[in-house]
Amino acid sequence: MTTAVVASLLGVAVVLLGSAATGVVRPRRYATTLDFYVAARAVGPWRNGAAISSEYTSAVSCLSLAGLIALHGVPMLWYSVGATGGYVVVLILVVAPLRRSGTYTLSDFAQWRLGSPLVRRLVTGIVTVIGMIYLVAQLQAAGVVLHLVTGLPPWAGGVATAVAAVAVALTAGMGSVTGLQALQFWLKLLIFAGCALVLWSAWRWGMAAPPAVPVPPAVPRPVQEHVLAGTGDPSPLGVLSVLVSCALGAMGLPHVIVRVYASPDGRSARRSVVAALAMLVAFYLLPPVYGVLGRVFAPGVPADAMVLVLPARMLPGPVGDALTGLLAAGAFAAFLATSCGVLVALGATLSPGTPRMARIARITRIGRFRGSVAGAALTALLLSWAAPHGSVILLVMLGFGLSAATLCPVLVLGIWWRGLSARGAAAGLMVGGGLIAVLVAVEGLAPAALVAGLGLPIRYPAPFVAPVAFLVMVAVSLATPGSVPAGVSRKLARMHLPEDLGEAGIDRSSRRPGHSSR
Amino acid sequence: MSGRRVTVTRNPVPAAGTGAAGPLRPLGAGPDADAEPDGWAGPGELHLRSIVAGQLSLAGRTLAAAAGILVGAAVLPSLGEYAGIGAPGVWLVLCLAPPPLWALLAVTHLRRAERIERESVRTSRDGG
Repeated sequence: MTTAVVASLLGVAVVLLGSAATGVVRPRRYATTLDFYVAARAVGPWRNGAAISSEYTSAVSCLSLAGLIALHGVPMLWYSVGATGGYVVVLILVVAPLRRSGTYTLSDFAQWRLGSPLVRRLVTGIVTVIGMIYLVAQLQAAGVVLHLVTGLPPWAGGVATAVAAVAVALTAGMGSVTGLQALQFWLKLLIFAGCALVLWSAWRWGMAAPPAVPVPPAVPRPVQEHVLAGTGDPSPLGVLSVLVSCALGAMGLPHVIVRVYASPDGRSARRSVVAALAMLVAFYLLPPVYGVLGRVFAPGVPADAMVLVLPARMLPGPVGDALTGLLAAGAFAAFLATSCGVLVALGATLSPGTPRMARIARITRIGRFRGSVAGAALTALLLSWAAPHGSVILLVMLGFGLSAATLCPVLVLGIWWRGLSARGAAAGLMVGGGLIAVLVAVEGLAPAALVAGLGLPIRYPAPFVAPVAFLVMVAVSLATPGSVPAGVSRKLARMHLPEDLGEAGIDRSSRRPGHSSR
Repeated sequence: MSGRRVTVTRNPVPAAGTGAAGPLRPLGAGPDADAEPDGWAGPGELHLRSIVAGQLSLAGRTLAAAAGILVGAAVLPSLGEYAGIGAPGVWLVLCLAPPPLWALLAVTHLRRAERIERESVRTSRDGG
């Protein structure tokens, strides 16, 4: 066993076992189940911001983005611009009203705002798909990384990450998860910034020389590099597709949205997002640094593997091995933070789904939450083995695109337009989600010549489908004023009036479906 | 309720200081759409319209500024080529310019949104 393998195994084990131990051994105690879900609504902006940033800086931000910059150059710098820009849109349009609504998940919001079980079911389905896409991406990336740095089979990385994430999500509650994720963000920032500094200094001071001839990729099982829904395409339309997905899709990421409710009020939630943005701005300075180093020292290496290959290419020997171990630990902190957040969000979204069955089986709400978390993790694990392995950024951007074409219109119109009707929302969700599914399936399954002949929406779905979903929601709402839910003014008042006004009868405590106006 | 009828010649004037920017009716709803079954009208409704209009206006301005950042970054490579700053210069500007601009935009938006809310609270307390 080489020192690189030992260092990597040590780094990964410290992160996984340390995180699981933090969650399992010393879980916080809560007075109520709601406090379990929302950390007693007492998380300050900086700690919540760090946790949000930790969930957002997933495998894509830590590994794939730098790899794409190394492969394609300047056009991929846009991805980090778009990723941070998405949070500005969340801040502008969504965060404070959503927190003030008092609803906990996106499904709860849809039910409360539109009073329609159909819309709730559609939103739950879409949130589940997006969550699964995110989870599968993290588990596949964990497999690729562990295989790359230690030679262990890829399934081992996915299993290790899933087990640690489930352990934390099941036992810790939002309070401990928040603290752990905040810690993981600072760990990731420290590791990736420190390693970048060492590698950059080694290059500038002549301690690492670029290869005279291109070195073949040292990846035992190369991942496929291709384009999916515009992602990975360096053309202007490919970049536009990613920017639209990032800008409009960030607001629908389930693991980010449930974080809003750990804040005490709308103002604090808004400040949490600004704090997260400040941290993301600092973090997204790093992928271009690794991208430049990768273009020089590791040309042609697949996107997801480039960052981890870099230290050994630049500084062969103990220093390079130690840096590889550190980067592997940082990568696993990213997989774990995001997986944990997604599992908590999926558990909260799916757990109210079968109350009748749960009553018969005498399962408590927390029991249903735990069952949903375990079920989601197992499903994602099986999917990660069954699904074809590509660069994880393709999968994650697909989730962003789906969110931009479905959840974004519901949130924006639901928060700002009182004319949104239940039928309008349902129609928009079905058209947006259906079009994305069909276009992506056609792109993936049809022959290349046919895809090229079918036109731009096939290759770049998000910029075309998101406006269509908005238009459908508005048009159908205008045609069905009878299905505009009752009490819209009160709902808008709850979302938009500041807490200081102390409106009588407005209860903004985070509400679960059982407490909502259903 | 008095049985005396009067002729209505114009829309009611919003309460002073609320800054209500006209009616915010559901676009597809009939004339009675604001007559909520849960009965929310009067000063509260005016307040709501005022604050939603203010926040929407602010959101529009911030979104326009965000679009400006994105368009600026989009044309930067072409401008860099034209200005002769070369590929390294373009890389450097694209990496270093947008992040602080995003942060500045977010902080500015936060302050303005909170100011709108503070003014709304003050108006509510002063004017009832």
